[in-house]
Amino acid sequence: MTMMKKLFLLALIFTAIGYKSAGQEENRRFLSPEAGIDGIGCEAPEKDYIRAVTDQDPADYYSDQINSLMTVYYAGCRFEYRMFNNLLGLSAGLRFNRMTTSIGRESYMLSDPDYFYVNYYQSGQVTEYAKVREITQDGDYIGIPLEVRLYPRKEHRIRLYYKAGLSFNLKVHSRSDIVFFDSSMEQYRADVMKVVEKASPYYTTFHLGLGVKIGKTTKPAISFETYTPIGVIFPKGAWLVDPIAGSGLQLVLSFPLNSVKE
Amino acid sequence: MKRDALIFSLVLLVLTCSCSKEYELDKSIFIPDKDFPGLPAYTEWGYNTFGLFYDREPFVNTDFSAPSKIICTGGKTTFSLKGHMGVSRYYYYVSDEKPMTLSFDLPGFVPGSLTDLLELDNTIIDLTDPLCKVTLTVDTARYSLEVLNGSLQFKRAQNLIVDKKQYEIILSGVFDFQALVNNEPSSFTNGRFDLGISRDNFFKY
Repeated sequence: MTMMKKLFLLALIFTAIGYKSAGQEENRRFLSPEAGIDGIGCEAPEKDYIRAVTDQDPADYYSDQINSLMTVYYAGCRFEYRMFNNLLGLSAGLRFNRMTTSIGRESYMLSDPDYFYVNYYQSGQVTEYAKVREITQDGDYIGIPLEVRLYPRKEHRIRLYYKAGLSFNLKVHSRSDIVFFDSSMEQYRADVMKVVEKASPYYTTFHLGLGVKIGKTTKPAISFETYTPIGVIFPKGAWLVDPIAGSGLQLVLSFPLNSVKE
Repeated sequence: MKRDALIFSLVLLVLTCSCSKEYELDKSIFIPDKDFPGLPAYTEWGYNTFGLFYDREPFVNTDFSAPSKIICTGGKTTFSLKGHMGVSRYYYYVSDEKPMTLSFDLPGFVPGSLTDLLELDNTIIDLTDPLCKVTLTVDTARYSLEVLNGSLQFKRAQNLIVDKKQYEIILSGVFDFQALVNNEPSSFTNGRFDLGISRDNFFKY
């Protein structure tokens, strides 16, 4: 069964549980627009096409190294079903994610150069390097987030809650860019970009988090969520960055759709 | 006063930014070998490193001087590796390093210019060839080695172009031999080198 099918099945189960519990007690449904940002730490890139800049002596390595960064900005909307007297919320939705990844050189010393060497051509006895300041990649993904929220306190204007979730994200578009040290190399951009990996076609994240909701359950409310760690799983293969884990912040608006008492 | 300080800071910034950039490819970058951590891994990036075991003791390049020279004079070409013995790379204050230089004559090879070094690509030199003189200098003592067996292999010679400008020749290879050093049988094993050769370490006169 493919990952997409599994997630679809999981979304159906979430929805079914929500409806099943609807007949038993007071339940509420919410429409929640949301936006957030995730910062993900990545392994230092070890690539066949990038020349090392320092010894692997830890003192050298941490003061001057080639780094990978990954940031995900997203916005979307989800439905949340509350059950068990609003103690538990299950939600599923749709998100647009913009994943920005980059490779650059970071140094504590002003005297260290801010570029690295990309080996972009080898033929016979000729080897060509380009001095590169940064390689960036923007990937646009459509994501399906599935989340569980636990509201341990009873109804209150300010409620603390916990959440756990996962999200499956499918690429719809991506573009890569490169910043050369010498602008005259711009004309060889296509040649250099040939050695850079494409953006991953999909990725999955999972996270644990904490949130605070301001506002009564029966009224529109605003929530702030922070979650850590975030795990990111790319499919097998070679990608621009190799994510480890990260943290995120999310802003959620909640609009109650109904209040049913059966 | 504030203006002077600002101008001084700007000048310092420009100087510090501009000074080091030319030397980026001349630095030695030591990537430890997974099997023999005392030696640099075999690479072909022009990391300016070399290493070997001299009777099981590592002999590697130093960080602060050119690890190699190619000298062509009198119809003869010498390829030399200059470094030290000992494993005090990161602890200089307890260093018992001995400066060492290992030199090979390359029989029948007389480059007319730097780029002629590309002819060494995929070349194996039999070190027992009487025309291939191998010398070892330890501190100030200089020994002519009587090579018993072994070879020097230039696995790859690359013409390195950086941002479309010719920069250097990268020579990468391996060597392994046994020899008599001051009449004592000695081994020189797991030798490897990855060197950038340019105008500052190629001499022809």
